[in-house]
Amino acid sequence: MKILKGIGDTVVGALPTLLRQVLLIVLAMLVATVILIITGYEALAVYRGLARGITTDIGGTLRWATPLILAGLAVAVAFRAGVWNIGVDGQLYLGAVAATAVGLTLTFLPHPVSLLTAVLAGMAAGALWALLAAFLRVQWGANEVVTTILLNFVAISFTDFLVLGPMRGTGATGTTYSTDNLLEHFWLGRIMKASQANVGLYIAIGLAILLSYLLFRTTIGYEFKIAGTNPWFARYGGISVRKVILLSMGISGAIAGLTGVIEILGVHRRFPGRFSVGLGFDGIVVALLARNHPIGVVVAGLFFGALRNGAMNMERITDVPRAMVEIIQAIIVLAVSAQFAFDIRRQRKSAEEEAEYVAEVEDEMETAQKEGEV
Amino acid sequence: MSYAVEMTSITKEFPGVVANDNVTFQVRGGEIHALVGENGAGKTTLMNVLYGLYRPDSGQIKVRGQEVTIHDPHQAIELGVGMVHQHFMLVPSLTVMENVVLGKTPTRFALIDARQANEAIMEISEQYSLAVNPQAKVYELSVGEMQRVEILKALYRGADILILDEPTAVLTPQETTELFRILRGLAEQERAIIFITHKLKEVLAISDRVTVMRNGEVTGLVETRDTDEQELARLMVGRDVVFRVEKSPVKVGEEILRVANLHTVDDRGLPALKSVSFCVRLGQIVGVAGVEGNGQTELVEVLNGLRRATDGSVHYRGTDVTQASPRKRRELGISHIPEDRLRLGVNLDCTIEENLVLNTYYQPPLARSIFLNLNKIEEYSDSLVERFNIITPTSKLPASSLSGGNMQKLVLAREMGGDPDLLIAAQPTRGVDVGAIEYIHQQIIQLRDRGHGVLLVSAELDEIMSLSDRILVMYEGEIVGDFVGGSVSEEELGLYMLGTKRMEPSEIVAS
Repeated sequence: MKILKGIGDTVVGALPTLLRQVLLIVLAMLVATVILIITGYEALAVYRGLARGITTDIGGTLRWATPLILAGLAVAVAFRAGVWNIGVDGQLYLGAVAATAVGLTLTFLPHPVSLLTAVLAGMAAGALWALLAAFLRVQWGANEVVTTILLNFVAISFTDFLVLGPMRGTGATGTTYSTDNLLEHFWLGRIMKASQANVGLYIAIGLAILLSYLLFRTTIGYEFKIAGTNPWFARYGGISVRKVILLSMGISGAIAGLTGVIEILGVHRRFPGRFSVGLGFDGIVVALLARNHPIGVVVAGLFFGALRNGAMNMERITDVPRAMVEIIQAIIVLAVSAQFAFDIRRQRKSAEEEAEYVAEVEDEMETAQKEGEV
Repeated sequence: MSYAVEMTSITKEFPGVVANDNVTFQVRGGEIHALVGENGAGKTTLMNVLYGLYRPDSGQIKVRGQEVTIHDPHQAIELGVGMVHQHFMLVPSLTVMENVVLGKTPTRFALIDARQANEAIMEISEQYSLAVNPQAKVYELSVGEMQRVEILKALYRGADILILDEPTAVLTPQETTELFRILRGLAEQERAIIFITHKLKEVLAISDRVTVMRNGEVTGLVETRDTDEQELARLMVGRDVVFRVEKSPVKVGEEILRVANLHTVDDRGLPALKSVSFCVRLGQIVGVAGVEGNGQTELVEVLNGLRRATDGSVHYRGTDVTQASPRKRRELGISHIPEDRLRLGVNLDCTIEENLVLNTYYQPPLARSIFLNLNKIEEYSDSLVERFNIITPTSKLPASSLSGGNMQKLVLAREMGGDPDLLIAAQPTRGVDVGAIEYIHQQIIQLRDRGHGVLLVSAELDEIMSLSDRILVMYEGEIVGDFVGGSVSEEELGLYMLGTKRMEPSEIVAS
């Protein structure tokens, strides 16, 4: 199949990058080990937790990998087009609450239609919320980093209001607020015994393949890349940057919404308030580690799934707090961003340009020094 | 005899490139020494070594017979080496005086001793007739004046070895003449002048001796009076270069572009075009001359749909395209070589292939509805690479891997590959080497000879004079001169470019 061959090619082509990313992860884990030793905890705790996570508790790894892959895809699509969607969390919550609302009200829908309706409602909610930020950007130039972050608060608080108020479940208490359980014909199937891993994983992987195709083999993907790397060049070539921003944010938000839907229908089967523990932000890390490549997102998502699940296992079998895994994540984020900076420098390919660049910097330093002297 | 500067066997390597390979370069006191070569030949590296910005891997530098090691620009300045950069290093909001004394300020009770500073500046400026007003703010100055301030600054710091990096790139012919007069005056005072350029006419006009570099090596050291343009070009490029473009007589066809009473504003909202009217016909190259910043950039942007016209109209083949989108204009057959190559001309983060299909990626056979045909895209871009002689191992490499000349060929390939009816070329040969200039000029001429129209906007008068069938001069957003190609001298055009002379609107024929 042509598609599979294409994916094979991209995987082979990405091998050097892959190796570098693996090296980054190894480095981060080594640093974490050093921190563990310094703080007097069990040095191998992280590895033991991870090992258990991917041997006896593989279902837990896949359960967490699913939303991480989906959130990573949502981020990656927008980032590819040069749009910084930091609002995956908010879009995810609205997607989740929309699907829950469908599940609680449209109970009469027959089985496959029920699922489809909930999924579409969730994706639409996520997309619309993302489009709001995109619209503010194209209409008035409002920076989407700021607007999406702020819209997160609005969206999450709004779901709080719904779950504490109109959608509040009968058995819920003040601290652990939640909606009622959804009916069974709104559930997504589980794929492993004694685990919350669900068919959402297949959806995530299928979506990654679909997005690879969209990004690398369609005019839309081409326009995303051109506008994402150089919007002036895009405009000069007749590509509508507005269209790219709106479309990429729409797709990104829809995927974010889907992430929330799958968390609800596949894992919780009701809407527990504040159920997402930073999935949107972890999605950014996943996308960065995968360098916004959909297939890479699957790999990175599986890795972070293992890490997150390993953290829980680690807490269970050692006395090391889960925060240690957050430290590893933070180190990976730092390493990935540092790598970005290096890449930007490496792009100044020829030595002559490098030389000019050095001269410029030195000139600037010289000028700055002189001004300092005055 | 002793030299003011003597650089012997300088070698400087950067990862993967030998920028200077065993270079020997000697300048006498009192001479104007031209250092010429294509971009990337190693001129700038050599001068940065002399100015202390780089340390050579090996080699020896002597200043006035003394062997020295130059660690940084401060030391270079102390040794009497001054550099006038291509991009001026001035603080626009300070006065000329404040800029000049920056870094070596006479003080009195911890304040600038303005009287002493002004006197020092007036003294230098009178001695070399560098006319500037020390009280003027730098942002009020013209480019030529700013350059004089840079020279003044170097002299104030005691430079007797003066390096000028492409000093005429931004000047009008009159300002260039003035600069040359100043440089001769400096040379008479036994100062050594190093003049970096790739304009051979200027080399012949001003210098005493010439050092030519190619690929990091010195390929020739000649006395200016014993050489000519042909020989210098051969030393620079390594082969013979044709200077006079062969042009068959004009066979002007129907009108293809008509611009009427066009107005627009620049990025700051100030008027940039004031009632510009002209037309371009098929089989004709219309050149737009002018000092940069007189509305040419805005004119090109309006014609390509990248900037809105505030008034007036643009008609293409009789259709009103004043409000048309950039893509619409391209589809009608208008092509655009932009002046800002690194921002608009190429996308450095994309591959050569992705750059080449910018105008065609969505059309059959490269795409069917939204689906790209990657094989066809590869075929198409490879054929353009071959046809336009872009030197690269594969078109899958990022565009940033190309040299300046090859990048411009990429732009040319994309914009001329589809045989456009109208080509709008802005500064098409800026910063590219002699060999590539020759090639680009031939391509433009051929397009015209095939009966297409060309609007050529250029700050290079030579280019305008040798290519254009009709020459328009822009000054402060207006067209102030209109000439038949070949009927006007460079000096005459210069007077119009400076706004000294202008035609009555009635003399500016619109055809």
